[in-house]
Amino acid sequence: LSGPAASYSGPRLRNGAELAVEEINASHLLGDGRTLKLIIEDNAGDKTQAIALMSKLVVSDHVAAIFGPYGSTLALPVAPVANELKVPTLTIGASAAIVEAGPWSFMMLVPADKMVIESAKLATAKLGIHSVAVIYDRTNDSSVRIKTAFEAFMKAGGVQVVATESIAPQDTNFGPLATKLAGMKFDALYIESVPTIQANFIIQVRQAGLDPAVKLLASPQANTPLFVEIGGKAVDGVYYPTPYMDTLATPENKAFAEAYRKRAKAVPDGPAAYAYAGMMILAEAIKLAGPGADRDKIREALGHVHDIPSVMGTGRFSFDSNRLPEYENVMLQVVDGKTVVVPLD
Amino acid sequence: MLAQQVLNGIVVGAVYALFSLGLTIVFGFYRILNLAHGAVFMWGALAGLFAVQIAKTNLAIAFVAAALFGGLVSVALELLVFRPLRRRKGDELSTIVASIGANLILMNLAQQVTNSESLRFPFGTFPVRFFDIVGLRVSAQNIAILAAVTIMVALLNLYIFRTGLGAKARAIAVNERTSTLLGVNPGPIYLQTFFVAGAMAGAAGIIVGVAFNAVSYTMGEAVMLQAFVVIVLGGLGSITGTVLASILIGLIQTLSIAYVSSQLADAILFGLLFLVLWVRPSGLLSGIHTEQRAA
Repeated sequence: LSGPAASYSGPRLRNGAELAVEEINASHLLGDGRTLKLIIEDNAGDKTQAIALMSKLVVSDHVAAIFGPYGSTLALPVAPVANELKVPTLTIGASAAIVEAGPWSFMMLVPADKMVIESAKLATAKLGIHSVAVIYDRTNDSSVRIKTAFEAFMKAGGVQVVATESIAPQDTNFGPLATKLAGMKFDALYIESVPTIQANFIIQVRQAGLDPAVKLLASPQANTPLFVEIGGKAVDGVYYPTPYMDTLATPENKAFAEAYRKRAKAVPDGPAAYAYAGMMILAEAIKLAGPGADRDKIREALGHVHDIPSVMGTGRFSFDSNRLPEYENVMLQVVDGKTVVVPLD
Repeated sequence: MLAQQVLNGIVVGAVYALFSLGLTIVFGFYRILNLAHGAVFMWGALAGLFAVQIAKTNLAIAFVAAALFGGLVSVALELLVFRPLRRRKGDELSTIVASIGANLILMNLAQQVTNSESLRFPFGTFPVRFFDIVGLRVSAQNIAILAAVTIMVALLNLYIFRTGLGAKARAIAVNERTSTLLGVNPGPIYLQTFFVAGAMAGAAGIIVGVAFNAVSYTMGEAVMLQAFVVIVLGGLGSITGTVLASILIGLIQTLSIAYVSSQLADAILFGLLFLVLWVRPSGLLSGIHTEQRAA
């Protein structure tokens, strides 16, 4: 809720989670007399605090399951702790190393190698690019994995990767890198970082005189209104895949989007939807596990969550045998400050 | 492309100079290493941002507000942190530790005020305009930054070397006891130096905030790290050295990113610092103490 990622995560996650729990309890989803109690804690974007809160939630609050933390930078150090404490944990990150920590870890987002499939398809099949430059965040394990996966897809598709450059989340002066890129020849630029940096980088690379014909591809982290708010005209034309789209026309999403708008006075975005969908998935597992189930039963049931209606992706959500989620991302493009769906087939 | 990157490097270096000069004169004159200087820079940027966002002022007034506020925060540090320590005969180490504490407090306050968010100046606060000068893409912003820094550095030079107040400050730098015996009251002189140092940091803060579209409570940390390299490389307390070292570091950083790798830019910079310290432990140019004695 506080810390460097707060502007695009914390409060949105809270709204999404609170909304879901209210709906779960109002509809008696878990059966008569059983309700979910939501405990929200703030890790301030700090690893040590995130770990301490895990123990506190399990030891003092006796929680059935944990949702979070947000981002692989926090999720990775927390994962071994969750397995030691034996608490089912559904984290929001894209580094598959999270589930490698043990059977108690589940992931809300598809891992890096799947997260770039849509971008790779768009770049090779739809836009027909021949060369690409890649920017990623060297301090985040997810980002490094996404970069590696994207480059592998590009090389397999015969696209030349002409430059791979890294940035750090505290960087603000992208002038030298932007000038370098503006002086190079390539068809597309792929940018993976947090949304605030993605937008700021795009502004600076445009100001440095990047060829307007170069296609800009951003990673799914761009899926928040903040991206367009910060980037303004500079991010017009940018493509990005998203695990959540507020205009998805399923009954679940229509109901969620409307309730969220009413509650938060804002359009639901990625983090809001992850929290909402995550709570629904945990509730489904608790329901599957039956009354009086312990954490082990809930963990087992979570693994059996299969093809349930969800606001994620194109509307269905499952876990595979590796506790990784299965859903499809939707490709979007920013056009005149609004996002439109780009069909990939 | 090389010329373009050299320009990028000089602009960034000029901003580093503005920031580092305050750090280095306070150290050169009074042997105070003010580790809260980064927080002064950040508060300057915030003050400028709030002037534009809340008071709806134009950028010129916001710039003055940023410099003034930076100066005031710096003076507050002298009054609340450094002066009491001096009275109690605190040594250099206790001064450094106290300034770390002050830095954390100032950052925490900013974190509360900004809700931990990275904020930015509204679009078009500074008009985005480019000039084609002999094949170079020069932005109006670059020109403004270079002009502002040049003027401020020139004023600083005038203040230190051409005014009575500057002479008193230099006298205290050489020997505070003797200057006091000769009738110099050090209190107001300290305040002035801190104000000037803080005003330059605040100005640097708003420049960075506008130029790179980001104002956050952590923005002082990265620039502090660069400033250490600058003042060590330039010779602690040397004004010319600081300006030269700043430009040099801006250039090295920019050219490493442009021609080597963004991954290695910091390693190259700090590797170079080691090399310089090996060969010239006192930095490229001598500090203000030695300059004074030579004069």
